[in-house]
Amino acid sequence: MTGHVIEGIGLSRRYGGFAALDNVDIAVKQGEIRGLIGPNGAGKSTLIDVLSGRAATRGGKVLLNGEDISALTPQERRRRGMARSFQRTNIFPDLTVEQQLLVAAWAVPGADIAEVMDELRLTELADIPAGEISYGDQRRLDLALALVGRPAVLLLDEPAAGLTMEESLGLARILRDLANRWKVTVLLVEHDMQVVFSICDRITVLHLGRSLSEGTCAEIRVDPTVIAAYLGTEA
Amino acid sequence: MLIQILNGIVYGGLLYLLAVGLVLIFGLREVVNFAHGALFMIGAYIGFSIAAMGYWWSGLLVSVFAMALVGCALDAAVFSTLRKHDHIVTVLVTFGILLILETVVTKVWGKAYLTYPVPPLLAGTVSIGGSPFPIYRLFVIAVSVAVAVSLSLWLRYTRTGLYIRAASTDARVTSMQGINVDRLSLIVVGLGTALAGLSGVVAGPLLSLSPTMGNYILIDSFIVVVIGGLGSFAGAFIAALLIGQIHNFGAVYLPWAATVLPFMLMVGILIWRPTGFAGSRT
Repeated sequence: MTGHVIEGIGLSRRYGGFAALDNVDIAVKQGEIRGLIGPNGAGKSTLIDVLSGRAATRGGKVLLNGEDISALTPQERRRRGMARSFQRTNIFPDLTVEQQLLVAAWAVPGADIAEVMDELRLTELADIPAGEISYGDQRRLDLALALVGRPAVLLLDEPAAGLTMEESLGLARILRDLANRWKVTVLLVEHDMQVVFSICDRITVLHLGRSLSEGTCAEIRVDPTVIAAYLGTEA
Repeated sequence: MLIQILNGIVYGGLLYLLAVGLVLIFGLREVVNFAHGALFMIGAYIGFSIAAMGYWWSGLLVSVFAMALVGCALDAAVFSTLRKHDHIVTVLVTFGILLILETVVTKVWGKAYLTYPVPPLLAGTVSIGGSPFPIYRLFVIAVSVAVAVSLSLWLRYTRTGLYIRAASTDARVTSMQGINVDRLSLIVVGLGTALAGLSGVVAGPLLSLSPTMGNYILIDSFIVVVIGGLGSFAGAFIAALLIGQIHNFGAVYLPWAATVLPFMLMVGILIWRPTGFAGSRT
């Protein structure tokens, strides 16, 4: 054991002649929120896809609590405690909020939807079809779906996309709070730097499919290579 | 008039049994199954062969069970692979299956039209509004309603039903939530083809059996699926009843236009609402 809950070692992924991910290493400790930033096309979503099993890595391996899970399907990884969300919401518009959470909960042994509904303030929306709730509520439902069963690892791909600044920071606070109390390890892809710098313990910067830098928020803010490649002088 | 409406419900019920199988299969596998009419036809022939030996009800059960197995085999061997390909590939492959199945039936049972008997229990007529109406046709309505109600309750209140509704909306996301969509598809395609078998047996005594008997009703079933909204079970039910009435009243009052009326309705509805009555997909 290395003390890391989730580890990616030498992860690579090509789409045709384009190297979306090129020999990337990443390791995140329990309860840590790791920001994953970089310009469009840097490989952030591809890294999430490879870690979650949606895309295969060409060489390299993925470890969950020290166990090699590279050969497991996304469903098997979910049952073992690795959940993810997508850039767009994953809701099923015709199912009620409660039914959606039940669908997610039945697939995970011992999952309890009441605590997730309570934490994400969804209890009073339980009987409303998900297609009829506000976008902000849908985003919280999306996070709730990933949190069902208290996963060990949460891979979030732009969970605050399309939210107002106030909603984004509210979501960030919930995430920080749950990471602390539930000891959930979070890998967060997010373009909103205010969200990233407000809740992340450490940040990994990707650029052109490679890992450009890694460090605390303070270190990343002043890293000249990161400023040149992504943040710019205003960060 | 009442008799005409009932006859429309009978045809609508048969369309629903066939169309709901198409909806189930398209929902999970996104396969437009052109072989569905051939499965309906084979279901009718299997039932006929056993009914001809004097076991009408056994014929129904065996046909439904056999078609469920055929569906599971189709899903495992064909549909699960087709999902990764373009829709035109699925159309061509399922059309090929249709031709193969028609050839097999022609070899086994011949091209001649066959008459499917009505079971003795359901022979005869009852008086409705002073006019005689075959008991067997009431049975067809009862079967269709029973299937519609059972399916609706199953999809709404059971775990598997919720999984199916979720996977029909987005199979990829459902899979990422830890649900084995391939296993779910096996159940759904098996159920869809079993309903095609049931529809074939139930329709048998109302139609003449021939290797091409599924083609015409399949076209009407596709119209039902499109009008109802791709992937919508409730939409398919409403659309089936509507097409049933149009088919029946058209045959009586506008026989020269009867065959084109469902198409005209489909065009009109798609212009008004491209996703159909209750669909979210185009």
